[in-house]
Amino acid sequence: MIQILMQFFQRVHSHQIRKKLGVVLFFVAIFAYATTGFMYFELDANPELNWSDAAWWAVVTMTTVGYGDYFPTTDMGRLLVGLPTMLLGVSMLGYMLSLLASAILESKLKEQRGGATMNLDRHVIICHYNSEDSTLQLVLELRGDAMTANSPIVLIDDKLEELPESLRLQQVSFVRGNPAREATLEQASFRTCRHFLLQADEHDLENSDARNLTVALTVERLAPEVVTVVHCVNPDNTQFFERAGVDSVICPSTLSNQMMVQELQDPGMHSILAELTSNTHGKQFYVVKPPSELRTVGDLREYYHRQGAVLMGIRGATENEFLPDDARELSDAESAIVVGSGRPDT
Amino acid sequence: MSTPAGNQRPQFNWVRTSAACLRYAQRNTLVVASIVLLAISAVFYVKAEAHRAALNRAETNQTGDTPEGSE
Repeated sequence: MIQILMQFFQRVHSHQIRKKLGVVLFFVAIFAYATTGFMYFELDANPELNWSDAAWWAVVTMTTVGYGDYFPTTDMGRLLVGLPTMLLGVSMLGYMLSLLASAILESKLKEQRGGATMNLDRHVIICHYNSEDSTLQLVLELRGDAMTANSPIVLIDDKLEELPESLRLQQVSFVRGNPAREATLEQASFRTCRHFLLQADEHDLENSDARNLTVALTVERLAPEVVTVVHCVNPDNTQFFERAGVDSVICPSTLSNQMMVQELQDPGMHSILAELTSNTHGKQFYVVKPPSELRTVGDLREYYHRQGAVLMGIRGATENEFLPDDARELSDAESAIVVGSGRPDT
Repeated sequence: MSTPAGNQRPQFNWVRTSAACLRYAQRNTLVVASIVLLAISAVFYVKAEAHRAALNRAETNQTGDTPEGSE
C-alpha cells in the first residue's frame, strides 16, 4: 500500500509542482504546529486562551508582526513552539513569497517570448515579423480605425526572440512558432479571431508566397469564417491564394508600377494615395455598407455629406463604379466608397 | 517484494520497504517534515482539548455550577 501511494505521488506530480506543494504543505504544517503547540503549552498559564487566540498568535509570529497581545510564557512554550515558529515561519513565508514572485516573472517572460497560449475573441492576428518599424506601423494603422482600435492584436513569428517594447506598449501579444502549424495557430486562438493578416516574409521573399499559401490553406480549412488578407509577392501566385479561399489578396508589386507612372504624369499622386489609405493622418477611403433604407445614390450622397464625408463611388462584388449618377438605384450587395476623416455610420 | 516458489502470496519485505521510504524521505524532505509536524500537531490538539476539558470540569466542580445541558 505504501509503495502504491509512493508510486502514485512519483508519477502524478512533476518536480516543480511537487516542490511548490511541499512548501505550501510545510507552511500549513508549521501553522498547525504553532497553533496547537501554543494552545497545549500555554493553557495552564492562561486558562482563558482559545483556539482563535492561538491561531492569531501563530499568524502574528510567522509574519514577524509581533503585536505582543499573546506570547508564550512557559519555558516549553518558548523553546518548543515560539522559537521554531519564529525561525521556520519567517523563512518559509519568505520562500513562498519568492516562489510567487518568480512564478509571476516567469509567466511574464513566457508571454514576452511567445510561449503563452492566448484566450482571445474577435482579435487580429498578424503573421510574420519583418522589422520593428514596419510591424509598429501596421499596428498603428489598425489602432487608427474605430473598427480595430480596441481589438487585441497577436503577432505570430518563428524567428523573433522577444517582443519589442514598442509593440508591448501597443498591447500586442506574441506567439512564437511556425504559423503553418495548427498548434501555433491554436496558441494564437485563431478560430475566434476576426481578421488574419498574412504579411510577406521579407527575410525570405522567394519562399514567402509558398509559406503563406500553406498558412492560408490551414486557416481557411479550419476557420473559413475568419477574414484573411494576404500580401502576395509574386503577382502570378495571386490565383493560388484565391483558390485557397482567402478573402483578399494584395500584390503591392503591381501597384508600384502603376504608382510610378501616375507619379510621373501627376506629381503628388503617391502622397495623395498614401494619405487616403492611412488611418493615422488626414482623410481616408472607406468601403462601408450603406443603410438599407437608402435606395438611390443621391440619397446616399446626401446621407454621407451630413456626416462630413464624400461619396466617391459604389463597389459591387468585384467591380467599382466611381462618380455614379444620383438617380442610380442601389442593390443590397453593394457597398459605398467614401472619403472622410472617420469611419462613417452604417 | 520477494516471490516465493509455488502459489503463495508475495511476502512483505520490510528491508526494501524501509529503504524505499528512506529514499522518498531524502527526496521529499519538506513533505516528510510536514507529515511529522502535522502528526505532532494532532497530538497537541488532542492533549490540549483534553486539558481544556479537564480545566472546565475542575472549574465547574469548584464553582458548583450545573454543567450546561444536564439537569
